[in-house]
Amino acid sequence: MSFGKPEWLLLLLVLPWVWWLGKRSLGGLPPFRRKASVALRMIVVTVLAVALAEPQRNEETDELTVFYVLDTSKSMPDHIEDPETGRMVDCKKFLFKYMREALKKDKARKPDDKAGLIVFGRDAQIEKSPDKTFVVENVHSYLSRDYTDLAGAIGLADAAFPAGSRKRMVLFTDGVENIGSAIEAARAAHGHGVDILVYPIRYPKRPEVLLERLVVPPDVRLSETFPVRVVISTEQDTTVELELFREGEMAIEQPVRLPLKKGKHVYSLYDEIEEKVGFHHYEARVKPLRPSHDTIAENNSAHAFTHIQSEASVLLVARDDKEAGPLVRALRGESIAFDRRDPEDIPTTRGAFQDYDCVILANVNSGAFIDREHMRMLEGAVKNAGVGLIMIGGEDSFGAGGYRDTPIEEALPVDMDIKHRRVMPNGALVIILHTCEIARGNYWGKVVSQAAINTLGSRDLVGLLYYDWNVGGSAWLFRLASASQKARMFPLIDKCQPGDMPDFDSTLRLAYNGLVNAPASLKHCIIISDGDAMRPNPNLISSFQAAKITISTVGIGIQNHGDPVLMRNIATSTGGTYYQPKDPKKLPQIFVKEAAVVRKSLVCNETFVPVIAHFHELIAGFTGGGFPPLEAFVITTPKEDPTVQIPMVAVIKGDSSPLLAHWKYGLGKSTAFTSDATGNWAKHWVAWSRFGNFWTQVIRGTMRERKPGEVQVTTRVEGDKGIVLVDAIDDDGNFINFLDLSGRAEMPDHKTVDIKLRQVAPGRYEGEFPAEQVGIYHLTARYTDEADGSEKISFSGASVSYSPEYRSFESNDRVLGALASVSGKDLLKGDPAADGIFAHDLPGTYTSYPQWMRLLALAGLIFLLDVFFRRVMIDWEKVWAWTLRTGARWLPFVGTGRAQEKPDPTVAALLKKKAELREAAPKPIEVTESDFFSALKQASVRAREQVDLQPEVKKPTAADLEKAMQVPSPDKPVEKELGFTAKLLEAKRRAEEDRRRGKKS
Amino acid sequence: MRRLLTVAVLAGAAAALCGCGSGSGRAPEQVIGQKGLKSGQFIEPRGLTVSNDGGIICVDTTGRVQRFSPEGEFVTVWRVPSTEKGRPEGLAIDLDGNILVADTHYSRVLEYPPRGGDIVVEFGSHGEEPGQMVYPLAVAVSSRGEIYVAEYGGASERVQRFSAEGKYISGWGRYGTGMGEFRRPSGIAIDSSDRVYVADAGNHRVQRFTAEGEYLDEFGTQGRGEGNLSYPYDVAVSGDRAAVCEYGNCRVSVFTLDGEFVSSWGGPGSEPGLFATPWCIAVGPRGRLYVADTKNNRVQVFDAGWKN
Repeated sequence: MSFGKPEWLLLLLVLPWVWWLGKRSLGGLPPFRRKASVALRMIVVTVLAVALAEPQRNEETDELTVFYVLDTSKSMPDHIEDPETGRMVDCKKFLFKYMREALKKDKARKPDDKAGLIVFGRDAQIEKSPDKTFVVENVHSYLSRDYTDLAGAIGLADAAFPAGSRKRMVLFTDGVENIGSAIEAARAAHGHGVDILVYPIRYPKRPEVLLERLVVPPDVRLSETFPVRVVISTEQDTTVELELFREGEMAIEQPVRLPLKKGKHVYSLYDEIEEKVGFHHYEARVKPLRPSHDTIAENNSAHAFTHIQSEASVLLVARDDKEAGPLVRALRGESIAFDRRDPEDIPTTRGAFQDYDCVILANVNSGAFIDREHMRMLEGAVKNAGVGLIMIGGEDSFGAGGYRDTPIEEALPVDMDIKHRRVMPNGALVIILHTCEIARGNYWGKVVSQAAINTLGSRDLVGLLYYDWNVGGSAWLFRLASASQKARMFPLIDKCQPGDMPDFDSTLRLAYNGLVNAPASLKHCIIISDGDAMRPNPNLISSFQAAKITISTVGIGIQNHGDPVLMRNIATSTGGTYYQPKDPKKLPQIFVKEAAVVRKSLVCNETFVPVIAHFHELIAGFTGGGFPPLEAFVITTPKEDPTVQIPMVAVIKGDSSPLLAHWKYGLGKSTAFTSDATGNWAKHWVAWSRFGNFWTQVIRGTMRERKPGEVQVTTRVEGDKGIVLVDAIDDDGNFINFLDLSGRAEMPDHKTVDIKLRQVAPGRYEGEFPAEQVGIYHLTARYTDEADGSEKISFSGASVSYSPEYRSFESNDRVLGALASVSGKDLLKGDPAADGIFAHDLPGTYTSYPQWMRLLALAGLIFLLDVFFRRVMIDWEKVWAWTLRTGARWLPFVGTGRAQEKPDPTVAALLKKKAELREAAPKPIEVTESDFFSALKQASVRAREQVDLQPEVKKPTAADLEKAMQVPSPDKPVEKELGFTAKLLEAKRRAEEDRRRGKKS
Repeated sequence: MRRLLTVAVLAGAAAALCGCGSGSGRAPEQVIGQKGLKSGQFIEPRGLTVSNDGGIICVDTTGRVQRFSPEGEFVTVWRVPSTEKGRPEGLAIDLDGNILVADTHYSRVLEYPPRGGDIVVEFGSHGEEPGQMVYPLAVAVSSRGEIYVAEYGGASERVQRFSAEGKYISGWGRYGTGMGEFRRPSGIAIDSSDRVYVADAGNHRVQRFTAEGEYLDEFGTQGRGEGNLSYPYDVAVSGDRAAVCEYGNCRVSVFTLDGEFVSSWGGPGSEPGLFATPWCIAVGPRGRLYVADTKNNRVQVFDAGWKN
């Protein structure tokens, strides 16, 4: 027996007080009952004190629980050698078979022994709870296999053992770990009584070529030649080809062929960057000439960064010189370095956007971006790297350019959807799906339809037509309805199974009938098809032309069996566009662009003079003279955010819409100018003498402030963590201490993580970020300079080229041996019958059974007994008499079986004597309730009679009542024979009498 | 309320008696194949023909040509040379029992021995000149052994006539809706008098021509009623009857050779007797009709009771 909380036994010290209290409060009871009650109370307190101390009964148990702990990380081999046959067999199948057979064949196993399974990689999970059977044949838990946390798995097994059982875990691992310390975890588990066995997963050294690291100087100058070092390890003599890429393009003339001996090699290449400042991403790849010399392909490449500082730079993206010309002249006039690119050449990496201090999208359609992830790179560069963003209007910009619900819209101070206008412009779009003939046609049909609908605003109408063979012709999947009904439309699209459309004519006729009377200012139709359907009637196409309904056609797979001429003719004759993408992945872009055609209704073609809404530094110096008129703009809505500034608005017929909007977005700033900067909508502006001044002021007010920080940021990756080191030294070489540094990491999936940077030494700060993903990490460290209040930002990058699991060439025998030695055992040999998995050679364990509930019940019973003793008075004479009567009735019967015929003479004599005595004894007076009220009634009658006789009214007194209540008394005085109720009445009477006397006196 | 209930019950009873909503199915005599890539299975069969002994030859969208016995047992399979551009859609049997394949997306006609194997004859090249083809959809053989090919594509919507050796003889037709004009001539059949029946799918009709291509008459108008047609993809002729398989109405309609409506059955569905975009029809010995039930991945065989 043991106690869980023995301190509660101190409660026994109150027993003397309980005794004293009981003696005092129970003074009215007879001595025996008082003593018994006090004793019972003391027992109750004692039992309660013991119950609170949580007594436990301990019993030794012989049950054994075994946890199999299986390593599923990527370093584990697919095949291992069967120790019995020497053949290579499937690793997992073999181990599961071993586990099952250990339960069946180990003769030491007892019937109650159980086995469970824990699987692990980066995380550990219980695949199967301990049970008497083990039928696992595969792993169903979803785990990250890029890392090995053996220590975590041992910890989980240690905690998961059921109480009161002997504990044993069997580790099936290659000993390769990259998170935590398995040996420390094993020692801790052993300290908790867990026996540890190790089944070593050994594999011979695999032929391997590993590109360990790529080292590039973090900062270089333009045109400086710098070394790029590559660290390569090989497990055998081999020859490899080394390639080096910068920004995805070969940085060396041709692959370098390197004959390598077994071991580690450092090879240096040299590069120089002449044309571009900012971040530069390098990738090195090695390829062994003999494929058999390499087992893991994933570890044959590595990434690194370098950075080139320069003057401020601007990226100007515009469709052609007509769009870009006026801005180019303005930038040149102000000597702002810029890079002009076509929409097809927009940078495709996050680092490339980060090179610039400002990105200007001058009437660039959203289709110029590959996908949302591409847009997210630019948005991330603004938010997390402080790059400025300016969007300039035009027919392909803002909502008209398909930017609704995109990451770019998130970064801008205006929303693309419009609200609160008197006249709400809208468009109507019909999508015709004929995708069943292309590979994964139904999938692409759904993707493009949903992408198009997402582009539309809530005021726009959309309908979808397809060939439904159940109805024997083309049919509406859903008729023209508001695009806001996406929740209804998307499930229909998901279920749609478009048939092979034989004829464009009937389908286009349905589209025409739907669109011609639709309440929309712009009407458009998109057909996606392999071009195999019959051509439409020319009259129908004429009807489309007359109704100004445009048709764009997308020919996919058309080169094989369709009619591209037909598709092109349909598009060009109605004013639409024909597309013939070779890669279906381009389809969503096309559909987003085409759906944006109906959003051109957002373009307001009215000449107006810009109105200054309020002063802002972007228009400082321009408020006095006013602005020339503009001829059109794209309608937008300011974001509902108090930080959004709207210095200039366009007011048309009482409706106001932002013309120039600006806000701070994350670390960067963004500006929206909803009219254009060309002779198209802004011919008066282009001719305006201050055009250049205005735009350079807007650009300078938006671009990232280039005040290089005095801190140097370096990063390294250790295991699944990235370490950020910041060294802060001022121009005089002094450490900068107590900086309020904040860091942020943008992960490969574009999510951001704030990094807590704490000072660890004079001028040195350190922080961590999770680096579990394979890919590129962008880091920023910023602080506010107390001297001038400016915000200073420093950048760095890190990369995880591949999972650390791919760095191991062989099992780690040192770790395996050390794990086995924790319990003093040898490594298992692979014989399930003889390895002793279920050997009962562990010290006995005890199972504790808590007893507090039983004691609590006992205390309750004793308490009831105490109440019984105090409250219930037993007439022992009656009990005795009843006992005798019962005994007289039953004992003879029980004793002889003929008791009724021959009663026991002794008992009979005793009963007779008792009956005589009872007769002779005076009878006690028993006053029942009915007697009481009967007496009361008689007294009342007597009193009324007296009233009748006497003229004076006299109420009956208490004495009269008392008299009336008196019943004929026997010989002895009444007080001595009265029952309890009568005694109470008598006491009441006396008290009344005393009170009356007191009044009289 | 009671009246509404009565009407509903009556309507339900009427619907049950009439069998509305599920098409008018006619029990097939036999159903051959199911979806799959194994022998005897199909992925959307589109071309079909029947030999004189009742053997069934079928081509599907994987480019496999499969031969079945008259009882529907799988016999053999072979593949057309290539399918990257697209798959063949038309089949016919010549007087020697060889199998002709309209290799639609390769603009040619292939001739195989009765049980497959190497190509015996190949004719046609891509183009719109006489003897060339754009997309040949259907092929048929007259009692004189001449081969008729129906095609579409480009400006060419026509029927061409070749000798048994593949030499061009004559041709007729162009895109349009008038007499002798076509919008997607998808099927072709020849009666015992060598009159040529062309399933003019886009014009929802069947046109009849002399062996030389002179327009005779036509039957069918677009619709869903009796005698109407919706995208007739193929036509088969035997004795004094012509059977048309309608892609749009998912049914088979039977006419006299003069175009009088006789009967129809089918409707959209997957139950036996119903169809999902039927692509091709053929007539075999003892007046049996064979329908390539494309989306249902099977061939249905009906006893039409015709006298050959």
